[in-house]
Amino acid sequence: MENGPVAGARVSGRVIRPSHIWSPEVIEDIQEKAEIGRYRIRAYSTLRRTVHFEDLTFVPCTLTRIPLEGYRERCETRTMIGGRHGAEPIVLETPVTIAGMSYGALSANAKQALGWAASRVGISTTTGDGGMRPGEREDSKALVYQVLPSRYGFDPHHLQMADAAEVVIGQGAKPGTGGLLLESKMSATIAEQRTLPEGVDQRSPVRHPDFFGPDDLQIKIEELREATDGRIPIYVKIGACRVLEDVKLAAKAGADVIVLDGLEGATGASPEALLDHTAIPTMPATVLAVRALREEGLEGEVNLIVSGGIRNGVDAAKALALGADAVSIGTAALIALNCNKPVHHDDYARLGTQAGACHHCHTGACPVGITTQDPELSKRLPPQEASERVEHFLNSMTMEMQMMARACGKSDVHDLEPEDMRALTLEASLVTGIPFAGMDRPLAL
Amino acid sequence: MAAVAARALEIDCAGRPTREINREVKRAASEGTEEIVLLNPGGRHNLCVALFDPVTVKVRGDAGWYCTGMLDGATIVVEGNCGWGVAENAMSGLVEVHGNAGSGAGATMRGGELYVAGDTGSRAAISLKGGAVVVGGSVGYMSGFMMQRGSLVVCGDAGEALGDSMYEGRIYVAGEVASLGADAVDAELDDDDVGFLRGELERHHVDRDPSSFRKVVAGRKLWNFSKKEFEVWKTAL
Repeated sequence: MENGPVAGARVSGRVIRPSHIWSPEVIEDIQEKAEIGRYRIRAYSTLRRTVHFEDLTFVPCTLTRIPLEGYRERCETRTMIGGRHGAEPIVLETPVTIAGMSYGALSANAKQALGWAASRVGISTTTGDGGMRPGEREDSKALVYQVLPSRYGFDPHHLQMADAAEVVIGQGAKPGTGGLLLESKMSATIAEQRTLPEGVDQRSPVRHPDFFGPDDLQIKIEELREATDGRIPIYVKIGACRVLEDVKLAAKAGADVIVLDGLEGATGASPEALLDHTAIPTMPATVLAVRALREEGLEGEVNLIVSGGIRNGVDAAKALALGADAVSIGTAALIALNCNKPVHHDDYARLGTQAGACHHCHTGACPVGITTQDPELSKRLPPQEASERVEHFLNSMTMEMQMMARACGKSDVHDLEPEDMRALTLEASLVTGIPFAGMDRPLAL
Repeated sequence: MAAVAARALEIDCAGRPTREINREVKRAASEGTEEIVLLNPGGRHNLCVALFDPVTVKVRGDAGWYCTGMLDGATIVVEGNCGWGVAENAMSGLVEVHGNAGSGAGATMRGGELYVAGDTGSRAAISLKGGAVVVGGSVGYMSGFMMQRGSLVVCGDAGEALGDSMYEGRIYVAGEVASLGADAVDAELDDDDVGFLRGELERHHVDRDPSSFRKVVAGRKLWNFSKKEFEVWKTAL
């Protein structure tokens, strides 16, 4: 491996002094752009540190409150989503969903494994750009059908087969910009499903073709209800930007469920500049969304699912404590599949990376067969055993949520509340209104 | 509601919720009714959405947004004007609009045919994935934007940025084109094109010489990025 300059080291008697402004990373970035002639593209989510759920800690029961028995007493996790307008709600056995990830971004085996795992756990999965993969309906007991700006592969028959529809306005990884699927993943099968020429770089539209703003969205939502006879809930997914206003507008437009995707949300491919410099983090976005629904008198009526950077049951429990009804995971589920597993080291090296730091989904050369359309690489992910790993991980999330709830004396994970937590950083305290650890009242500016 | 002929049905929309009207249309169509007439549509939105049976529906008046959206197999005649998104994402079937249509007419259609006798707003045939959109009058700006497959026929004029960023498909314009969009280029009209146009014009009783149309297709420079064609990408993105 090539090593960069080491601060403080001596070369020919002189001390090496890398610049903070013109750091080795910045130099590499400029020289890469000078070579490729465009913005850099990569996958995963932002690399930067954000204010995050890890900046909160639970303060369980001691003498002032009585805990539930941590390993024994019943703690409810079942969650009903989307019944606002009389549709059949989605029943989640645990308040987690699998986020929309397309067949194209993911291999067929990965999609299948996620569907099987979710079905066994009793949660929903979501389609993605390109529509419903053949067999996806059968793989997932509860399936959310996305209505994306591109409408690639959109089929009203599939919509009617779904358990919910999700109108995607944007995503946290790249709000304000459409999807991206590069040439290497645009196989003949994927191209045909999307009615695109094989081998093109697909740069999806960001605006919907038949509506723009919230007034239009209201009519679009009504159209989806007409197409499904009002049977299924309608979700609206938005990237976390002007959350207070956006959530109010989505709720006013008739959304049964709002899916709010924060800055830490990931993607299969994106201009790097968008990953690192757009949207606000999931934790403050959650706080704003809950406030928006509360101000509109819709808390508990419009359900809130938050996503972006949810890594485990503890992050999920903190999101619930802030007021979310459920969380959605993407990257964590892929990691459970085997993403970044320290195997096939040579293949990671060929991509210029290592296991544990790979974010090269956009290349289609995924060493573990998850984000690829290469049949040989896909074989590295046998769906049955991969689904078992995801199932186990989801179960661990449930157990961690219950653990936190029981420790805080709650017999339902949804009864967790901000008062059960303290902030570990000043920023977290300011954005959540939760007291900084050691203080008895919230910080306020 | 009153039967007007065997296997035909009239539905008066006045004062009734759209859900109830659509349910009745679908129920009648699924039971074999061949023709349904909707009276007093009143410009309401979402009429005849996701209609999958081979029935003919005549809408006696104006319809609002998304009329006949997600159609698959039916024939709908709107004897008035339509709002945005008429026949959006239609899979198959035929939609005829005797008046004008709003923006996004035939958006993302995957099959079937939309004929608008009058003009449309902007973005007609946006992201078209199959089938044909035929407009007797003119279309607004960005029509054929990101078109993927299928045909857009414009018997009048086309607004600015026609065919912007289209992947594939064919656009034919008889009148003036305000401007072509990024990576949309002229192509020579061949015998197949003239034959196709003749068929469409005859079917819809449009008196135009099929050989007089201008043909626009994708230049394909936006299919894959090239740093040597920066000007194309600067304009496109």
